[in-house]
Amino acid sequence: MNEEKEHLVVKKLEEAFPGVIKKVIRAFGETGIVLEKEEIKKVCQYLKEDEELRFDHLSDLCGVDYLGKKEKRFEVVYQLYSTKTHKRLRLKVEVEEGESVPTVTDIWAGANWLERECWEMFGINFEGHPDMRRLLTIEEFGGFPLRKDFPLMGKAEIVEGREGGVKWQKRE
Amino acid sequence: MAEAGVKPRIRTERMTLHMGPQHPSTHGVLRVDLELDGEVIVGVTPYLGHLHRGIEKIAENRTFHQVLPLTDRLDYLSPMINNLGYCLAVEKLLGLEVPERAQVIRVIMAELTRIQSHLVWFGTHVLDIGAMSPIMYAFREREQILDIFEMVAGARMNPTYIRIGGVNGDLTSEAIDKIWSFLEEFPRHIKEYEGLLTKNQIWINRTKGVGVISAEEAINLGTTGPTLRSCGFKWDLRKTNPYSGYETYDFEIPLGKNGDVYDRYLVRIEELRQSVDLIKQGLNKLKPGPIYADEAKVIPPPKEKVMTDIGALIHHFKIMSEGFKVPEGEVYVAIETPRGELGYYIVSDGSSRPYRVKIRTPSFINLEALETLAKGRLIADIVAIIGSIDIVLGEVDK
Repeated sequence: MNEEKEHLVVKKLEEAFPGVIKKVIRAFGETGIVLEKEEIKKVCQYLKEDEELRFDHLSDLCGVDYLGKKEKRFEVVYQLYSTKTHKRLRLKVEVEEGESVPTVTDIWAGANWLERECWEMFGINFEGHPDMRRLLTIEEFGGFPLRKDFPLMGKAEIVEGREGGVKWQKRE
Repeated sequence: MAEAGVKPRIRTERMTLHMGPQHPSTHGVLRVDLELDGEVIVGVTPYLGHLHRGIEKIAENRTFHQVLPLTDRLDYLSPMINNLGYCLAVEKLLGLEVPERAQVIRVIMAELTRIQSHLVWFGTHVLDIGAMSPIMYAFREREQILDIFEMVAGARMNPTYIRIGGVNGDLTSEAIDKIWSFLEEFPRHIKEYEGLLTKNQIWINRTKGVGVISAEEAINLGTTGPTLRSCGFKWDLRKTNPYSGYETYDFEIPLGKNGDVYDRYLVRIEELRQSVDLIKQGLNKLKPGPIYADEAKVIPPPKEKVMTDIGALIHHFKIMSEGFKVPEGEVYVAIETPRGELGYYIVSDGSSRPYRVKIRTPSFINLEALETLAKGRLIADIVAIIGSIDIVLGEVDK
């Protein structure tokens, strides 16, 4: 049953948008689909509105930094949930440093803070996001703390004034 | 001066009011900027992060076992459930089968935690709105649960009791007796709480029709848990995507109708009763058996053996210092906490440390609905609304 349904998602996506799926990852009973980042918006819209699939709940959105491990540095991961079929689906897009991903805030309003968090932690920009500000760290914070090359320990010193940003000094 | 024929009007101006970070009703440190038109709220901007500890970053630099105590500190009002979510995710990666007794104990502890967490919500939420006495009642019962936790796990607040592959220590017969006696008494206390509030006219005036959200909006915002169920939307992960054997228990999902503060109150009170039922069923299911999975690579040897046997000591040392290797891959595991869906997305690169841990905390996402809930309401309602979403700032800020 589980397997069938997951096939259904892949099949329906292939039908609706031929060639959109770059890779399907099936492991631990979960399905992940890697997409081209330009397509993410229309795929999400389709998955949300399709009567049979109805992935209407965006559980989570996060970034992962694969520094030196993958060809493109970042991945943005979307965890979808269907309140109709109670199935989960993972979508992924690969992003290079400095590139941006189209926002999904107009599909799920709940994506707003998640995208803000993703930007402040990884520096992945979301194109068309209505209110991109830092969320969990202070406004003057410099750098993107969840990147792999960001130090775990260190002294931060706030230079006076708002434009100054934060100076990072590694602990001896 | 007003001209003849035109009614003189009171001049009103928009005003920004900072609420918090040190505000008693925010239950932690949350700053909310309120845009006011007279007494009416027209804009809400929450500022988070006062309690940000970078748990996700710390987790990447620790072994899988060492991450566990961090999860207690996310939602410090339901630590056991946070442990459970993390353990389930790691167990999924490892392919561990948890023995039945451990699973039943996990459910019992999770439901006790749910009661305990709802009691804190009940006491503080009602206190915010102005009723002083309920918090005394609520904390009286909560104390008993914390005593049970202390008996079972050795700690009251951050027990780290649920471990990868099982639970840390068996339920003793004294603890079981104590849980039974608590369960016998507790339904009477729920009646007491309800007697104070459910038909109390002041309470109804303050909560009915306040902070209304429709199911559709709530889903779109990602809201889960009692906040969503108060709109009449039937979705509880314990039923729809069961874990730890919840499918073998018989329980109802309480639903609201109007999606207002009052319905959220009713839903949570009813959840208390359901949790009592669940614990009773769990205690009846309890059969003797192992409480840890049979996997020496992952499970540290019992303490008595570590003290007497050199082999066990080395084994213990290896697991605690180097950790165990977890197969490469990624999982997303979600469970139902008192606040909604708690999800752990763990990426493992095959080493003994998680490559990435993303925690989807329910309060964080539920708080996003604050603007929808509070817009157009009076300033006095914001306190009721924040209380009714039941946020824990440790979880919001991570």
